[in-house]
Amino acid sequence: MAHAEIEEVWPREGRVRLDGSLIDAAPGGRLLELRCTAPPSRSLLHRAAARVLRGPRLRRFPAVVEGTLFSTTFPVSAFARPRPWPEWEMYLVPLAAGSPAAELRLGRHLDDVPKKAEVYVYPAQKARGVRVKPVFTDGDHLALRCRRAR
Amino acid sequence: MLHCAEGIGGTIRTVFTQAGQLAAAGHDVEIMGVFRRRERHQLPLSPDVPLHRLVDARKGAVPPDPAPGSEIPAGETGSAVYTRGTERIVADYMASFDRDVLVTTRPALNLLSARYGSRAAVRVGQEHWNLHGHRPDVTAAILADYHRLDLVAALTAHDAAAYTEALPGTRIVLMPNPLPTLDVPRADPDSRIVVAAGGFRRFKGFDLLIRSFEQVALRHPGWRLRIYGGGYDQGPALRRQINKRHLYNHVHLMGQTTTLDREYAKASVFALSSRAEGFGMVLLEAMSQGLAVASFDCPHGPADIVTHGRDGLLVPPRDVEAMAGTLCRLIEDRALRVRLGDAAVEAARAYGPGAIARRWEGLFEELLSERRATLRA
Repeated sequence: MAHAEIEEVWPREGRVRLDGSLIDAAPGGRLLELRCTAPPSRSLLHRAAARVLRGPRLRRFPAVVEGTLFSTTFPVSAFARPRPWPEWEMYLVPLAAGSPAAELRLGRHLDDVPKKAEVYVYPAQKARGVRVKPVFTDGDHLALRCRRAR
Repeated sequence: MLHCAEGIGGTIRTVFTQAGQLAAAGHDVEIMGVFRRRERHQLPLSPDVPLHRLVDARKGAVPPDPAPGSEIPAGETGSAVYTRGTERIVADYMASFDRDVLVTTRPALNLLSARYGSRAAVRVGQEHWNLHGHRPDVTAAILADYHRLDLVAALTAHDAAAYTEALPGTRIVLMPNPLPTLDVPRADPDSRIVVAAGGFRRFKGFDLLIRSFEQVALRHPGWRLRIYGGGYDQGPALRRQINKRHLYNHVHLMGQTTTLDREYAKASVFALSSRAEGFGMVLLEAMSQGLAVASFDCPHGPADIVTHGRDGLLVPPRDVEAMAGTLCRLIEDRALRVRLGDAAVEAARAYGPGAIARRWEGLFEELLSERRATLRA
């Protein structure tokens, strides 16, 4: 399965850097985009309020590719909101014109560790009233968990 | 005899291994657990070894005479469960013991066997901790009563010497723990994983190892440290330490596993960072799989098991810099890893279950023939 395999996660000084490699995917250029998307709220009422309080459900950051290795860094303040979206999925998307717009989901699927969520644990970062923690999901995808910082 | 046969721990595993080997050699072997804590034992036991218990300690069971006992020093781990009723049951069992050899495995049972065990039987007390590592009241009881045992078995040369000096006239023997099996997967010398294992307790020194690995990761960022284990109270502190030093990409707390041999086989280097040990079973197990080992030369065990420079490397105890340097030396020299690992597999053979069982057999036969000679005279 084509995906972006996470090798290192560096939450430091209000930023998160992600390093890894593209698996079964040709980048088609030196620049990619990291897209973080928040799943929509369930109820209609909630949705209307959420647009105001939580902001858009998409955040985009640049990523660079060298061969099959990628790296991307983003400030956690980009997720600051009165009520931040609680969870974000993460994808790498090619930017080059004409390249197939295949999304590569970020995750860790190639090593021997059975429970990534328990073994690969990272500290949270705080900025502008939001606490952002990179986590692995039950499906071994990388996600961001956000909540208001106390 | 075991305190309890249903737990998971070094003493239980060692006794199960010994009993299985002796039964396979044609001896009639039984295990008596004092307290029955669960319906079934959790560690593997040969079907040829019957398991009995003296006191039902499962939920809802009525304890025998719960008044406090008077035999076991308060400093002995778990002394509170030796009530007056339990002490009487254990002492009666030992006094009426009508087989050849009674082996007990911790101070509480060794003391009761010394005081009440049948004089017709050969009584062996196994010690899994060093003499002066016990609480003072336990040490005092040992010094007063162990001389009534026919044999005291210690795990390390240092312990054997200490017991010999403290108990003149008592027969002391050095008898290391056996490996459960020599049929284990080999380590991969090309792996870039350093492995460690043990309960998350302070004396295991994983905090020291994490500090050492901080230096290793700077010089060799492609290498990882995996620590298997859990329980006890040090887990959150170790996690904080990893985060504070930004080692979350290099040091991983892997949790507990029942297949440690398979995890060892994925690594090329093993580290023992303990401040103290009773023996160092995890070190011996790593060597039996051909890992290149680096171990603090802590009291006591590693220096008995490892011949420095031949089948592993010993590091001055608690020396974080020296451990980092030794790990780097192993990481930078594949040929050294292979040479130490091969020699370690050879060295570990002496601790194979068969080899240790034969040593016990020889000892039991010697003690029994002496006993028969005394009875004839």
